[in-house]
Amino acid sequence: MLTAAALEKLLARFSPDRDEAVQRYEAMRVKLTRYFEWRLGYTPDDHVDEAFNRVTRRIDEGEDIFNLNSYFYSVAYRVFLETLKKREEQLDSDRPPPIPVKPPDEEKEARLRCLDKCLNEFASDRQLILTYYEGEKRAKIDLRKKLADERKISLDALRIRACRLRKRLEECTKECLKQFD
Amino acid sequence: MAESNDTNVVATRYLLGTLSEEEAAHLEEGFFADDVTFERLEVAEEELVDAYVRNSLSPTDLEQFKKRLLTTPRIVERIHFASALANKVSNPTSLEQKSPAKVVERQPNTARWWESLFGRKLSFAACIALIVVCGLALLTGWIRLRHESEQLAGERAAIQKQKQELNRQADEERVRTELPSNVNGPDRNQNDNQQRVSRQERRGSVVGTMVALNLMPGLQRSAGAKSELRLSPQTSAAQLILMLESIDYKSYEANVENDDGRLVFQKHGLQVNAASELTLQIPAPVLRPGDYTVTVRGRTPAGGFEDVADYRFRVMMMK
Repeated sequence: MLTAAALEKLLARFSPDRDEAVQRYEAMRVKLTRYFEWRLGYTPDDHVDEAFNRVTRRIDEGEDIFNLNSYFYSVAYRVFLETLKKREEQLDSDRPPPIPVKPPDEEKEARLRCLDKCLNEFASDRQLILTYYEGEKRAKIDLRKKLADERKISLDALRIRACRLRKRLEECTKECLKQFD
Repeated sequence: MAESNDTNVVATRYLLGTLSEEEAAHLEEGFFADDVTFERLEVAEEELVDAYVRNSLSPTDLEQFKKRLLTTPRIVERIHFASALANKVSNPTSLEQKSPAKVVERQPNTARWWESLFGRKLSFAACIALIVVCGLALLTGWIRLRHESEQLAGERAAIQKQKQELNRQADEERVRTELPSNVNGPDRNQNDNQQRVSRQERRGSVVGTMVALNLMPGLQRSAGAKSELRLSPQTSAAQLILMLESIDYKSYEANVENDDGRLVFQKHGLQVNAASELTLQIPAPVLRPGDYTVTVRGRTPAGGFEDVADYRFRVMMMK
């Protein structure tokens, strides 16, 4: 079990400002989760906890860490390799099987209603989202270029902006769907 | 621009697992160091999900997508959302009708309809009369609600008092049953002390660096008084013991959200113990003073999730 003092040291390494430190802590948690998901094919809370525990312990022991983000990566990579080794030892080299994707009709209907509601809440960004995801192939590329030009930003910046908006929209829809359960 | 396209291609290939180990490690080091690189990967994931929904992945990419990404409930959830979004985008008519601009356009027509039926002055008088009637109805309703809420508050206070009295009696009873252990030698005494610590933990008091709290589904919400989790600067983690009413699922996920609805902690693959409880350990740094909701969902055999129960608690910081 890690001590509160050790966790405090970790937070202080993220930032001297506590609020910012907590934000960075959470952002690192998301990165670690995605890293293991993309590498191993499943949601790996235990691996994330393990990576956090190891880094926190090292900091508590006074190890001089030059770059915290890189250090987190090196620890995560080691945890990943250990998992692979365990899989080999247990002759379990396969990733989890794909999950079948077919939402029940009722849920589909509710999701559409929620999406409608959330889109209406995104008054100023609604048009950007709808236009960004409109069209196919060439038409889609042209539309996105036009959107980027209108906003005087690069296509790459537009992609990131649309991705952030979509994430918020996804969250809003997910939240709204809870009412139908 | 060309560089950005290259980055996107590399990100997509990483997600599909077609980069060499060296290239993958290079990209990973980059996204740990830099948030924008990480966001580019999230964009690439989103675009792969969209391409899957639109059936525009090549057979090889589709194979890799299923093998590498379609193995987590998170991606399945993203696919459901992407399908809904694609549906909306390809069917803009329903959205157009709800757009604020169209609502504004329709207002003058509504006014003309009233005016043509009653005339301008009569319409005005009718509006005033309607406002007065509605106001009276609202006032009556408000008075009735206030009266009912006063009654409810009285009842709640009585229940709370009753509950406190019961707790006090239970504590007294506990002390009475624990006292004789002191005469049974040091070993027995130590064992009893451990049990007391364990009980204290489960009631939400701070013990060492860990604080634990028992939560019942729904109860805290209906009673109005939330269970309190008291953290001190020495607390390193909080352990929530979530009691389940039924155990219909092999595994569960728990989402902890603060009062703003922001997800502060998430845990997958939780297993029920012999006492039909889930144990959720949360690092103390993610908990700030305030109200929290834990939503527990059970994993279905098809890989989806179903809501099981909500729990509420309040975090308080002790000096």
